[in-house]
Amino acid sequence: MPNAAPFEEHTDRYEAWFDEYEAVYESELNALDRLLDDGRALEVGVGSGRFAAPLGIDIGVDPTIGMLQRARRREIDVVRGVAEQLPFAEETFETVLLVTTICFVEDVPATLAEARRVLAPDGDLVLGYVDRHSPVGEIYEQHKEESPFYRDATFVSTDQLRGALLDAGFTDFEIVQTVFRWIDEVDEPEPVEPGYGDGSFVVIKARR
Amino acid sequence: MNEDLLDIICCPLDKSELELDVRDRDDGEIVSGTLTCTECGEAYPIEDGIPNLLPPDMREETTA
Repeated sequence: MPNAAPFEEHTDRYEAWFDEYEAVYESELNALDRLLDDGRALEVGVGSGRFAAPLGIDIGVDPTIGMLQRARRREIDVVRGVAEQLPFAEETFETVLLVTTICFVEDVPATLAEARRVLAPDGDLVLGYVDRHSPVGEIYEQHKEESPFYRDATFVSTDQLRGALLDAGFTDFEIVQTVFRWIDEVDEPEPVEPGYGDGSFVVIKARR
Repeated sequence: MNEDLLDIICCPLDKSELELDVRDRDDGEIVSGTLTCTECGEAYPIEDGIPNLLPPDMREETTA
């Protein structure tokens, strides 16, 4: 579980990001909200609940105890565990959400297979992430050694992720994007547009 | 931990059902206890209201 340690150590710094980049955070929430449906939902890599709480996600799983304690205070039912070996019964959720989590998991195919296992037959996987082939993705990749969080991250492009989703058996992709400027220049929420290639934060919804 | 979670959580290893043993309860929440896999017998602790369902080989560095 090598990628969880920085989140245990730098919980406050993680929390501070959302206040510093409030308009980026809001843009991301809007993009996720666009593709999320109602029904019982699980967030994998729930962290401190910064996304789960405003998006109305009931249940969260994460390996990091410091983050889970914060998520619990945000009224989310939390379970400590890892994405590659989810401790949930099959066909349990209408939605499984991962936000900026796919870059930190150790095994992407195992993560997608587990998400698929716990999804109901007509359930959806929703993935939000910084696109490797986007302005912010390129800069994050170049400077990732300087960040305690991103040092061990493996950023993926939308094309790579689509391939991995197809291999895992997912279909019917719906894609939106947001954050069209460098994050320091985003002062108010950015629009949410269909497709990908211009926005740095991309959300894919895929049917089980 | 909300007791309703018991209906949907399972052993991360073999995905079998878990049996709950409550040690401490507060206002309907389970604060501490143990979840034991009905198939492989692995025991998973509930501490400070959070069930630890990490695969056992990932648990050691974090329980300190």
